[in-house]
Amino acid sequence: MLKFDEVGGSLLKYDPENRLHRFVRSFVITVTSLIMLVLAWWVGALALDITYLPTPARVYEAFWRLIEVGDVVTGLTLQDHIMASLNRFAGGFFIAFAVAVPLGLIMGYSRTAEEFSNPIIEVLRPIAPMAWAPLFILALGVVAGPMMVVFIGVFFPLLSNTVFGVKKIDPHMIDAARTLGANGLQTFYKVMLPCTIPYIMNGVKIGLGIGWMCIVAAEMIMAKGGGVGYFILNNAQQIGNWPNVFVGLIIVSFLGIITTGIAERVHKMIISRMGME
Amino acid sequence: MVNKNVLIVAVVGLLIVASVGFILLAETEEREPKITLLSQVNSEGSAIFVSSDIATGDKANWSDNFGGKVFATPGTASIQHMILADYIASETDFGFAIQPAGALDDNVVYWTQVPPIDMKESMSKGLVDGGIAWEPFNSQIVADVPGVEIYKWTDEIWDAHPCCVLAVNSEFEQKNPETVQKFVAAHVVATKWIMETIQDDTSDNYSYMVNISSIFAFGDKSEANKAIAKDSLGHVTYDYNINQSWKDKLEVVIDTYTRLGLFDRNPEQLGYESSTEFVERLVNTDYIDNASATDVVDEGDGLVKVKVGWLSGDIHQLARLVAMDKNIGEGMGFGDRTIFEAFGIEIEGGAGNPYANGGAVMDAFLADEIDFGYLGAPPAILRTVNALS
Repeated sequence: MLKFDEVGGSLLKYDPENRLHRFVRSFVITVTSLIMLVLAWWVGALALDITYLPTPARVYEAFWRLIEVGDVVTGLTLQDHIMASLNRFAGGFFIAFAVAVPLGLIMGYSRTAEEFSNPIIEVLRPIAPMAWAPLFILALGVVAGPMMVVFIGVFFPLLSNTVFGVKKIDPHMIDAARTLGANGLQTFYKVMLPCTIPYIMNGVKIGLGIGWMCIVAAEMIMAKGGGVGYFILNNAQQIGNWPNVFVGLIIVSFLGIITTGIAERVHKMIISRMGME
Repeated sequence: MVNKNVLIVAVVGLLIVASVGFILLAETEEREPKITLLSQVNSEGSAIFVSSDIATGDKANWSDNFGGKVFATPGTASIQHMILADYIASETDFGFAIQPAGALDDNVVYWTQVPPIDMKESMSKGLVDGGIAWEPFNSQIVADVPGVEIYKWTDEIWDAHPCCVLAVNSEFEQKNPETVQKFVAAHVVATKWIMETIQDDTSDNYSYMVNISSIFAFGDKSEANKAIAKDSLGHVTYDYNINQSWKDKLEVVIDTYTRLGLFDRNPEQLGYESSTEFVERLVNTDYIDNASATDVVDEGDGLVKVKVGWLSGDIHQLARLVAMDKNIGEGMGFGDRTIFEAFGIEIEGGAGNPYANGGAVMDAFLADEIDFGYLGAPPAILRTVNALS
């Protein structure tokens, strides 16, 4: 009897050492997985037949209509909504990066600084970023308010990872640097900072994911000039156009994948350049 | 022994084939409108108000100053938003778009969503240059914010335009027609009381109506707020009747939304022959026709509990307030009962009640959170049509 492995001979044989085989395998599995997701959604939408679960075909139609005529409710294009969200997201992210990384390095380096900062951080950390949204929007306005919600979302994972990174540095490396004549400042930026970068990037990856959730939710409370979160809420609550809502959800997903994908790529490049693979 | 990868491929393949088969063969049933419109609540009673920056020179030309200015609206599904959008499009050369985060273009009139209850603060702080709201908030803003003036009352833009309606969950209606009849009868009695009371502003009933309106809208009955409430009542036309002219105006709402592209699929694309057929399906006048023949229940009889949604501080929906007031019920000879209770109805607010706008009331309907709702006709139509898609 013929065994399955013999069918088609070596053509069907998967070689884990072959890069092309690995790529094709990964591609086929990814595409199949996404097809399964779309089919499950489609079947669910048809079986349940409820207003707020449109079929993928209807969402596809809505997407092209939005590309062609834009968002007729706000007078904005889909690109305008995406750029509005990206701008707020980038603003919040960069502020968080500028504050969390230096603070994390200092906290990791100085025990006193860590002991002093920890109580404050531990009191603030459990507060969900979205809980700050009404306060920030009222206090800082509809532009800076949502940005600060992103700031909170990105800040804590970035800070924790940076502190963790500093603490993971092998003390022998610091001793060696000092033995070779490096002063405190040189030890800081020639040993501690480079060794911490992979951990900082890990914090960036986690922070980007949380930041996306924050910006979309904050825009649902209030946002000037549109935004994907605003687009989703307006179409859901005001217009009841659910295919448009799903277009918004898919955009959020894609933008999240792209931003975390870029962070992942940068992370890998840095690790590779630093010989830390 | 079958290779486990082969098994996975086989199962996945089977699932894909089964799913595609289901998708190709599945037939969805035509949906029924989620709500039925039972009665008018009011018409007109909204206004465009503007800051002193706009209110300069001849009033007829104030709209020339709208360019680059920001107007507050209750939300994109509201009649107020629709009237403002339509007015800007038809009567001015300006575009109409949501307020951007950056610079404003003088060729565009911008809007931003603000709950009417917060519009006074937005105007006071200079966050917006004007707005459109339901009463009593226009009168309140004019009275309390220096320099603000009414540009146009909405009846000057669209005479006797439809505004708030009484709607019922269609499934609830089919299962409980007697309860619906009693609710509508109570609503009609309350509206008639308002229509009579509003004729004589020297009567005790009128003073009482002003008091409850002030408390409902502003939380107190200070002299200043009562004066605003009194002013507001004069700007609203209360009526429960549904006639052909009113139905024709609902068709105008449908045609306007179709033109603005707000429907995912318009009634004709959904299989209705025309807007007329859709309106006939949406509106049921039987309950209004039979309202006068509906008897009150005996005192002590059990009450039927229904869940109702209404808008925050909206004086248009005064009939609901009147029908829930024990003093008015007593004055009408119902004993220690409200008008609703006299007709055997006990009112319970839906979760989240009162709602910020008609879209939120429709959300409550779609979530089966409320049985009856007071809301604007446009959000009722917009959300109902889009829910059929």
